[in-house]
This record gives sequence, structure tokens and C-alpha cells, in this order.
Amino acid sequence: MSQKIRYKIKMDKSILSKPFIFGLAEKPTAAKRIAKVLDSKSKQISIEITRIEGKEKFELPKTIAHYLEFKGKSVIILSAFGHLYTLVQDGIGWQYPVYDFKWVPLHQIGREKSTFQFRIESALESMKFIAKKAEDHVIMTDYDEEGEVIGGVTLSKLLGEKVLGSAKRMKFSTFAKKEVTKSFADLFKKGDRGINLGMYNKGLMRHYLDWLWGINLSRALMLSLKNTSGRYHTLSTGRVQGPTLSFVADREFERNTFVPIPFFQLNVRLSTSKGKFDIIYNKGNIIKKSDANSLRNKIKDKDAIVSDVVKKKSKSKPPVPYNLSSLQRDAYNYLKITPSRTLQIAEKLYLAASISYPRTGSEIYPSDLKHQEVIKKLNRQSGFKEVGMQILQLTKFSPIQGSKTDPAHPCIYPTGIRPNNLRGSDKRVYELIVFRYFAGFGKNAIKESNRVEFDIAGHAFHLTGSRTIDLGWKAWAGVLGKTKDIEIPNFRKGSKSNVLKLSVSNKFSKATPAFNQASLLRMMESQEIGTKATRSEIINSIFERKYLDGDPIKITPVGEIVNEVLHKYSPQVNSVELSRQLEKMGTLIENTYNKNGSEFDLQDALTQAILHLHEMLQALKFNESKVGALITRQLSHLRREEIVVGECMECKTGKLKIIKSLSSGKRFVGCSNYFEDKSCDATYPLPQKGKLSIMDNKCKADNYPQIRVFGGKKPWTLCLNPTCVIREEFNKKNGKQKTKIKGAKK
Amino acid sequence: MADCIIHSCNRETDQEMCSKHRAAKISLEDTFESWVVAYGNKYTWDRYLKEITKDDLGGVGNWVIDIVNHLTGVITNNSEEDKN
Repeated sequence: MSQKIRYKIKMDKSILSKPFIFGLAEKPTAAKRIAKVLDSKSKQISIEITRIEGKEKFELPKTIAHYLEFKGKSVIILSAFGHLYTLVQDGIGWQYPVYDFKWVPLHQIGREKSTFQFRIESALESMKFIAKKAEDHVIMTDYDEEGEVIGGVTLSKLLGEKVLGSAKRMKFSTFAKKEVTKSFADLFKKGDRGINLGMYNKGLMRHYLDWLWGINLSRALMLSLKNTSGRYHTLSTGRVQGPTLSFVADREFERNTFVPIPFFQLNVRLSTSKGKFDIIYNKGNIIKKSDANSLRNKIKDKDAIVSDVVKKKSKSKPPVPYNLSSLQRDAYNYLKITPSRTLQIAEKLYLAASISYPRTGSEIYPSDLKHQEVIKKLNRQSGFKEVGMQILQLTKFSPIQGSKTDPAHPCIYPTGIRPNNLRGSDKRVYELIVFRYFAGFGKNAIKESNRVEFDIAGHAFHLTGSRTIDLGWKAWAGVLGKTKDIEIPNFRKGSKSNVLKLSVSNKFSKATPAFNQASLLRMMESQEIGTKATRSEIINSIFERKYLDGDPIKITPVGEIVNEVLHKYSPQVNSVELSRQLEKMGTLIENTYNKNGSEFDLQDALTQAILHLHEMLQALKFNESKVGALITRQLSHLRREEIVVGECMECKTGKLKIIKSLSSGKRFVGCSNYFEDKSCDATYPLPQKGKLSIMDNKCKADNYPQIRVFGGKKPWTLCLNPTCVIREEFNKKNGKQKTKIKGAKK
Repeated sequence: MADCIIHSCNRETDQEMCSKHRAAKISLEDTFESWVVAYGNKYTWDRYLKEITKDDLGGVGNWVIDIVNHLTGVITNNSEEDKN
């Protein structure tokens, strides 16, 4: 029987003797920053916690709290580590459907505990102890759905649901002193200063639905495989993951069935006194080869006469401020930084108070932002002085803004606070944000385009060129302002030129390009699945699950299996329409809890969603044997493609193959009989790096198959037998440790 | 249910080919018309199959190449039977 757990807390309790406010920040860096900003003399309090279970005592890692005073009020801030609670099945059994769930502290998950879990346990016990004694509670997490759920769930689990009605909510978009201070001071003024219940419940809905989808559909896939063939393989899908994977699969389908269509182009090179120029046929591509040849014959040996010269000036407006999507797009296009990495970097810059909150859809600056002050501060940072000085010459500081808004946050902009030790990608993303901000103060860039029209034997051709007249905002935009001019000389109407070269070229239409991370993100946006804050993380998680790979993105064989099975037996899982419909329920919920005329609560959303999910699960259950058979067959096919090393030295009937684990990606040698009837489980470890080549000759010492490894300074030979005498000698010589025999898992 | 007729494919099908290779075959057949328009009425199906797999063309779908390889294999066998 398990013993009751209690905790012993050691800390400077004198700070709890007078009334104080309890603050909950999202991350330790945020807690420290808020404390310092509110009170430069704030101090760190160390909380020591011992877990006592019967006679056993265990010291948990220390938790750091921040104690400060603000306008006569004492405040103690503690920090979460992102989420402290997670959803789990309420009940037992690894089956589906499962519709009952509950929140549990993260440290209670799993048998083996990690250091991170001990830190969470320590933080939660500290919070419980301190929050209960506090006279007021303030949620200081990021002001978005995720932040609202972290704050709301943590406080309600520690103190009961009632606290959601009384807890206060700090709302800020930057960690700049002025904004944080104002946000905290405002909490004690009249008006609604509480948690945003609309955002909170919308966030809860997303968590519940993601959990329900993920757990049920993944179990349905894995149990189909297990119940049909007795095999186990990790397979998963999700509410947004299914449709996203399906976008890539559909694109691959399109590309794999693509046949190019031929067309023809007439290449005409003119020789003029001003140089040689290639001109373009006005009617574009020619479908028939015979038409192209006939046109070539018609204009052969004829002069090109300039029939018209058109000059046009075009303006290009400065770019509107960044929101998360446009920042991720530019970071990928200009810097080749993936959207999820860009978000990570932006969050780091936000925590350093150098930029505003990045998970925003807005293209609008806060109305009270003092641009002149920001630019003056940026001027003091290396790399920005030259442009900054020019902007400071302006008499009016009103940068361009876009039309998109976000109810919680303004656009992404630099605060002027210098980030420390920026390097590599972090530095480049920061520069992108600063230069985009600078560009917004610039005037229109002006380009002049020239189009010269030619007539050759009654057929129209043209030549185009362009040159920048005024760089405008581009001069202040860093990498974003790069521009390329194609200068052509002035042509006089009626002047003649010789046709120097004339040929017909055969071209072919191109397949739609495969997705890259930026274009996949754009596809999710255009199809309205996921949210600005979650899309890049979803793509990242599909990569981590090894269902997608590479750049351009390709679907992996396992990803293809998951997509194909769902497409065939439960197509609703991959349905964009359903995913979009579920997102819309979130908006209805938000309106309901924010009292904006909607009457659709969280329970309504769950009921509707479960009805949809149940249908999908029923389809999978009904077809379980077919689903299982299809997965088994496809997985076996992948196994068959593996390279044979030789005959199995243990069972003597199977074949030893180089196997790459479909889940971990690690390679090893295993017996084929394991995959047939599990009659032999011989496995041999392999080096994870370097190219491998199967050798024809067997090991002289024990007749085991040998592999040549190309990696490191020079190639070396590996006998598969870990106890091989030659191998042991080689290891001794090279100072390597003895390798374990059955070191790899299937 | 039987295996797809394409050697490298492991999909089961109740027809000659799996749905993916069927789609590739339809695409191959449909596009032939455009090639005839481009190169003239004398352009033959055999020539089309030969040119479609040329390296410099690029962009031809992998399943289409499977189909072409399958079809050209059939043509070669038939030609040899004819000779005999």
C-alpha cells in the first residue's frame, strides 16, 4: 500500500507574515524580468522542499520565488515551466474510444521521473503553500490562449475553481518597464481586470479536442495493427496533423502522376548599335511545333522595327509591420530559417524584452508607442545606427500599418532594448524585425519600367527593363530591400535592328513544386486550419514523428501508411472542412464567455466534437481487420526492402538484414525471422554514423558476416559477432569499449 | 484482392493496378493528346513512351515512370514474340 505523501517546506517565512499578492508567471525568465521591472530591488527567495513518504525523505530541487514591493504592496512571483498540468485518461485500460479525461500535474506522469518532473513537483508545492496565504492572485503569463490555460488551470487546481472569478490578469505585449509597470498598476483600478474567460475556455476546448483526437485515433491505428497481426508500431495522428499530412500526400500524388506538356518558344536575339538583346514573343508560348517553325520561317531575315516605347513609373509601398505569419515567411524566404525555429527565436527575443509578443496576427502598432524613443535606442545598437540616424531626421514618426488586427496583441516590433550576445540565426531574425520596422518609416520606392515593342514581319515582340529611381523604404530595409535592375538603353520609335539569332526551343511544363516549410504553413493558413501560434509547431511535430522529411518536404513511408489508412477507412480525420469547423466552434465559445451574443459553451463544443470523433472511430473499428492488414502489409513491405547482410548465425534459417528502426531511426542488424514469426530475435548493433558496405568475405575468426564502415579517419571492418577475437583486439588497440550483444531494440 | 501489376508496388487492388498507378496511367494517356498536338499527327505512342523517360525532361512523376517501364516491357516482349 502506498504511503501518504507530505511535504516539508523551508523558506524565509517572514515575507508571508504580512498581506501579499501571489503572481504566477509562465517561465522563470519571465518571472525574473517582471520582478526586476516592478521593483529593481526585488530579491530572490529560495524554497527548499522535502517530500516525505512514510520513512523515506527526498529533497526536491529548490524553487526560486521573487519577492518585491510595488507602491506599498508586497508581491511574491513564482513561475511555471510552460504547462504544469496535462490531460490524461480518467480511468484505466488501453482501449478506444476514451472520452473521459482529467488534468493531472505533469510530475505524476510515468513511473520513471525526470529532473524536470521533480522541478515541477517542487514548483507546484511551493505555489500551493504560498498562493493559499496570499490575499490576491495575479496571472502574469503570456496574454494568449496558452497563457490563459496555464494560468487558469494552475490556479484552479491549486485553489479551486472559485479563484477564476477573483484572480486578476496582467495584460502586456512587451517586457518593457513602462508597459509591465502600467499593466500591474492598472490591476488595482476600477474595471474588469480578471481572466479572459472567452480566451480561457477557447484554449481549454483546443486542449480537450487535441487530446481526444490524438489519443483515440492513435490508439485506433495501433490497436488495429496489434489485434490483426500481434505487432506493435507507434502510429499517431491528430486534429490538425491529419489534414496537414494529407496536404503533403496530395501534393506528392499530384507530382507522382504528373506528365509534362511540351510547348515551344521562339528565341530572337537582336543586334543593335546599343548591344545585343533577347526579345520575347508577345503571344507567349506556342503549343504546336509546326506553328513555331512556320513563325520562325516568316520572320527569318527580316528586320525588327521599334513600334512603340512605353515608360511607366511604379510605386512600391513600404511593407506593413510583421505579425507571426509574415515574420515566419520572410525568415524562411530570406534566411532559410524554419517557421518553428523562427518562433523559438522570436520568443527568446520577447523574453529578453527586445521585441513585442510574437504570437500575434496584428499589423497595427500600439497607439501609445513612442517611435522616436525606440529608434533612438536602436541607434545605439551596432548595425542600426546608419539607418536610424536617417529616420531620426524625419519630422513625423508615423510608420505604415496594415489592416489585420488581433484582440490581444499589437504587431511585432522592436522595443529598443538591446538583446545580449546575439549570434547566428537569432541575430539575423532580430535584424529582420528591426529593418522591417525601419522600412515602415520610409517613403514609396519608385521604379521605372521600360517596354519596347518590336514588329518583325507583322509579328509583335517586346523587350522589358527596369531601373530604380528612388530606393525609398528599400534603403532602410536591410536584406528586405535588395533590388535588381535590368537596364536597357533608350530605343527610338521606328528604328531598325537586325535579327542576329533565331531558333525554336522545346520546353515542358513543370510540376507544382513540393512543399517547403513556409509554403506548407501558408497552405494551413489559407485553409484556416490550426492557429497562428500552433501551425509551425504542428509541422515540427510531424517532422519529429518522422512522417515528413527533407526540404523540399517529402512524406516518409510511415507517414504515407498513416495517411493512406485514414484516407481509405476514415477520411473525415483528414478533412480540412471538419478541422475548420472545429476551429470555428472556438470563436463561438469565445463570444459566449465574453458575453458577445453567442450561446455555445464548452460542453456544447465537446458534445459536437465527440459526435464527429465517434463516427470516425466507429469507421475504424468496423474496418479494424482491414486497417490492421493494410498497415501490416505496408510495414512488411518496408522491411522487405532492407539490405541482406548474410544468413543468421543463430537460427540458421533467417536472413540478417540492416534494419532502420521506423520509430527511432537508428540502424542495427536483425534476423528476418523476427518479422515472420518472431522465432529468432538475434540483433547486432551497428555504428550510427558513416556509410556501410557489405563485404563478400566472412570473418576469419568466426565466419560471421563482415561490414566495412566508411566514417572517421579511415574505413574499418566490423565483424558482426561482438565477442569476435579480432574485433576485441581491434577495440583494445583503438581504446573502444566492448559492444553489448543484444544492444538494439526492434 | 491481388497485388498491383507494377513490380515495385506492394499495394493490394481488386483491379489490375492500384489506385495510384491507375491515376498515373490515366494521366499518361490523357497527356499523350497534348504531345500529339505539339508534335503533329505522326507522333506515335511508342515514341512518346521513349521520350517521356529521358533524363533531360525532368519532372515526370515516379508512378508515371513505373507505368512507362511496365508498358515498354510489355512492348519489348510482344515484339520478340512477333519475331518468333
